[in-house]
Amino acid sequence: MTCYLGARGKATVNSLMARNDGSNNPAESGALNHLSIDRGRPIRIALYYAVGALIWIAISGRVLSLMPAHSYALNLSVNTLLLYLVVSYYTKTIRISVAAQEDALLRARGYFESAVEGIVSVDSAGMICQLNPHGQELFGYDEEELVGQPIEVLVPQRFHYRHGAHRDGFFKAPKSRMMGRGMEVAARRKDGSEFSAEISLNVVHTRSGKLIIAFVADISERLVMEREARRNETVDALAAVAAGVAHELNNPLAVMAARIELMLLSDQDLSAQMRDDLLVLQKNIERASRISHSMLSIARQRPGVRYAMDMNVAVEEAMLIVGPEARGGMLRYETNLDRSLPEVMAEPTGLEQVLINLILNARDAGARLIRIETARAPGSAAHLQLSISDDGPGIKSDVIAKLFRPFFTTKPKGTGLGLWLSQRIVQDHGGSIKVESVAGKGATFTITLPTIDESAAARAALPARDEPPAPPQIPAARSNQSGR
Amino acid sequence: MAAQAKILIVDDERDLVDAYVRLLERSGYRCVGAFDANQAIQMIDAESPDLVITDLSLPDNSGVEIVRRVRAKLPVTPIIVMSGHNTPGLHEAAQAAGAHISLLKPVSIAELRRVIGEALAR
Repeated sequence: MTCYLGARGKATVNSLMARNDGSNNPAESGALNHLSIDRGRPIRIALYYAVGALIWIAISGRVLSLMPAHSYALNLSVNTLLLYLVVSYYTKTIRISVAAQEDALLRARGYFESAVEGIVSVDSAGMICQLNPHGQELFGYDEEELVGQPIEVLVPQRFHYRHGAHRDGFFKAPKSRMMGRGMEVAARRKDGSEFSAEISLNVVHTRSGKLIIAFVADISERLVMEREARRNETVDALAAVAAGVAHELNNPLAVMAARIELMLLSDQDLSAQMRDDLLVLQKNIERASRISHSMLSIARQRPGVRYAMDMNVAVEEAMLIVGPEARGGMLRYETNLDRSLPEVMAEPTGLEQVLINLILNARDAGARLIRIETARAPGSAAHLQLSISDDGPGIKSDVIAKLFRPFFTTKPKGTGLGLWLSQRIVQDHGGSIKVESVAGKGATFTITLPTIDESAAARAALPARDEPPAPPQIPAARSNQSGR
Repeated sequence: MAAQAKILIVDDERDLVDAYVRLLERSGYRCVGAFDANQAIQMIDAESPDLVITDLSLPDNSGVEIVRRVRAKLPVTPIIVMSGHNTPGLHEAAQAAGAHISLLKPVSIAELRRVIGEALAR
C-alpha cells in the first residue's frame, strides 16, 4: 500500500485540509473517502458529522430545539456551541491523523527509495504503477517511461506467453511467494540485455484494487560464484577418483616395470625382436606412470614446504630447465627482473612448475620470444607481479574463458591439467593468475603473489597448524609432474 | 661396502618385492624381502640391514611403525619410504619417524638404484 500512496496520496490529504478549513460543500464530501485509508474511519465519520450538521442547519434554516422551554436565541447559541465543540474536536483529531499519515508516507517513501532491491508495483491489468530508483537502475529505465506500460516490458520476449497467465493466476489467488522458486528468472533491461533475477511477489489490497509488489534482485554475480563453487566441488570429487585410480594402478605398473627390466637384464639371449618389444613395453609403462603421477598431483591436498625466496630465482631456474630448445628454431628469452623486490613465501618447486608450464605453453603455441618481467604490483605495496609475455599466435577469447578449466586443452597430446594446476598452485600461495591476449599478438600471463610480510600477516590471522619438522631430504623424486 | 650392503625390502605386493630383490641382487646388493610388518620387524632384528626400503601403504598402516622400529634398533640405517599415493601427512609422518627419502610409486629401477647408491654413500 505504501508505495502506491506516493505523491498522489499526499495531494489528496492536502486538498482535504484546505476543504476542512473553509469549504463545506457536501458535493465534495465524496473526496473525503481518499483520506480513509488507514486509521481513517473515525476521521471520516467525524467529518460527515461536522459537515453534515452545518449542512443541516443551512438547509433546515432553523435551529434545533434542544431546550424546548427556552428561546430561539439560546437554542441557536447552544447549537452553535455544540457544533463548534464537535468541529474543533474533530479538526484537531484530523490534524493529528493527517500528520501521522504524512509521517507514514515519508517513511514508506524512504523504504521505497532506499531499498537495495528493485521494487515494481503492477495493477490487476498488468500495468506498471511505480518503479523505485534502484529498479530504474537495474532495468535502465526512468520511472516515467515505465508507468502505464505492461510489466512484460521487463520480461524477455520468450517468456511473454507464460508470464501473462502466471500473472493472472497470481491475481486470482495472491500469496506472497518467490517467483520461479528454484529456477533462474530472467529480466530484461531497456537495452534488451538480460540479467538473472530473484523476484519475490507480494500483494496489497488498495481501494483502487489489488496491486502486486515485486521485489527484484540481480543475482547474476551470485549465480556465477555458485556455479564456480559447484564446478570446483565436481573437480575435487573427480580429482579424488582420479587419484584413487592412479594409486591402484601404481603397484601393478611398478611390478610390470620391474619384471620387464629383469627380462632385459636376463642372461639368456633375447632375440632382437623380443628386446625391441620389451623396450616398447617399458616405454609405455613409463608413460602410464607419468599419467598416473599427474593424476596424483591433481589431488595434491596441501602445499609442500615453503621458504622465503627471491621470485627472480624461480624465473631463472625455470628458464634454465626449459632451455632454448624449440621445434624449428630457438627460443629467446628477454628478462626485466627487479632485483630489489622483497622475498615471497613460496614452495620453490611449485613456483618453478608454474613458470615452466607457462613457458612450455608459449613455446608449444609457436612463440619464439618470451619476455619475463618481475615488479611490484601496481597499486599494492604488499604484492609482487610476474608476467610472462610471448610473441605467439595469441589465445582466442572463447579459449581464454576455458583456459584454467581442468581437462581443457588445445594440444593434441595435452592432459589439460597444466594451467589448472598452475592456477591452484598460485592460489595456494595466496596469489592469482590472469591472462590477456590479443589474437595474433601473443599472450601475457600475469601472476600476482603476496610479499613475505603479507604472507606472514595472512598466516598470523590463521589458527596455528602443526608443521612437521623438515628432515634432511635428498631431492630424489619429483612428485609434481608437469601434467601437460 | 656398497656392493655388499644388505637391503631389506618391505611391500605387501609380493611380485614387486620379488622383482626388486632380484634386480638389486643383480646390482650386487644382498637383499631380503618381507611382505608385512611382522616379518619386517623380525628381519630388522635378525638381519640388521644396511638399508631399508618400505612401502608406506601397508595394510593396517604399519609402514610408519616399521620406520620407527628401524630407527630405534638401527640408528644410522638409511630408510627409503615409498607409497602409491600422496595421502596428506603420510610422508611427513614417516619423515618425522626417521625416514630419509620419500618416493612416489611407481619408481623406475634406475631411480631406485640411484637413490640407494646415494643413501649408502652418506
